Amino acid sequence: MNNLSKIGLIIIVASLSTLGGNSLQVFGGSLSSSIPTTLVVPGTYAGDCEFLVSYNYTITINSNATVEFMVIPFNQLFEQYGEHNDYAIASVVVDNWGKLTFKPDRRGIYALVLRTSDSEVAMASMSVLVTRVFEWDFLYDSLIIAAIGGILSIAGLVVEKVFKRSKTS
Amino acid sequence: MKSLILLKWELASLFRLKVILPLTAFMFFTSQLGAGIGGSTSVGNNQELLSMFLARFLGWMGSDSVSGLYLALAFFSAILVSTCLASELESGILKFYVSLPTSRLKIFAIKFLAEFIMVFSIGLSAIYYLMFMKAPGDFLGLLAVSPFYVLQPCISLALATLFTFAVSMYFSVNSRRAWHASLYSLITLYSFYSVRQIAPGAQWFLPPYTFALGMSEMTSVLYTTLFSVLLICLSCYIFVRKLEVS
Repeated sequence: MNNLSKIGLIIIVASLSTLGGNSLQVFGGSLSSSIPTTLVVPGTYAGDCEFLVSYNYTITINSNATVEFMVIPFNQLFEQYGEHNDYAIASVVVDNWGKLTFKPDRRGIYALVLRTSDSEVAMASMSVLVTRVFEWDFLYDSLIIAAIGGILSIAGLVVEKVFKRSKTS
Repeated sequence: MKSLILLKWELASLFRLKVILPLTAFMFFTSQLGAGIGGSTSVGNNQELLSMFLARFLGWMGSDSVSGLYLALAFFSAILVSTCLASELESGILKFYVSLPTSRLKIFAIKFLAEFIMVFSIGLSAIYYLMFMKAPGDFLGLLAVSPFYVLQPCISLALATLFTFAVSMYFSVNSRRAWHASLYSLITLYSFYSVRQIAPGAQWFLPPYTFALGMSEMTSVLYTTLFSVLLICLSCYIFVRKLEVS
């Protein structure tokens, strides 16, 4: 077996092992966290940037005024800063109390932000409940990487065979 | 030059599929067990500063995964080091090395370096694969903004590997049989891991959690590293003396 096939085989094993380890995390149970009371100043965002995975997230928001809660991918956070963001994957307008359940399509960094449309400063707090579910996007990504490994392995074997044939002829 | 040839020779004997495939599988699997599922930082209006905080968090996640990876590190250090040192001492292959025009110290250093390079490189790829999979779209951006934080897990992994190698080498040069060395190393290394079951508060001052940089005390990192270096020096001394006697 030549080096290309070996590298391909290693990539397959690596991606499938990672998938196995990741799948075990589904049995870890629910998680909860909270974002302490923050000031929501008009024209800016208040909240947190988090590494989210494709689990189910339930956000509960408490505020003393009407605020809008949005979940925005990090790379699009500054596109429409402080305004209603068209790139938000989930949003809800909350009057004193509200709840939003969402599931990101892909893993990545997301901003969980609040903004107020009024001219007055608002105060709000959030609590996050995470329910672990199987990460289908992780499965697809792992299968793509394993397929690349498979292609490399086959390519290595083909190259070896062609090389041997040309050598004998 | 002779040392380089020996190192190449040692690496060629280690980089075989029957060694690499189980090592890769175990490393990549266990790297997923140690890492937390996420973290957060406050949103501000400075994109670069926010990216730096996120890069720091990503680095922490990578360092944190070393605590899961330690299971694989301990297992493979115990097996590989005892195979390359104790087993070769036992079978007499090391006498062949001694007959070569190179010092005993260099032989020890080459054996250590070859095994370290292999375990460290596969461990590092497992950590960076994990970090990449945490945020596939943003990983390269964070690396560009703050390479120091993203490269931090390299230090954590290097220290963890150094520690597991130090313990395994000590038992390898002191045991009469290779399997004795493997067994003693495994028991010692896993006893550190199981401390959290008995005394959860003490886990932060002992390996493998001391290697999660940014979360543990720097003093505990320093004394663990110092302990590893001293143990390797002691193992080297015993190895050189043992070959002199034989």
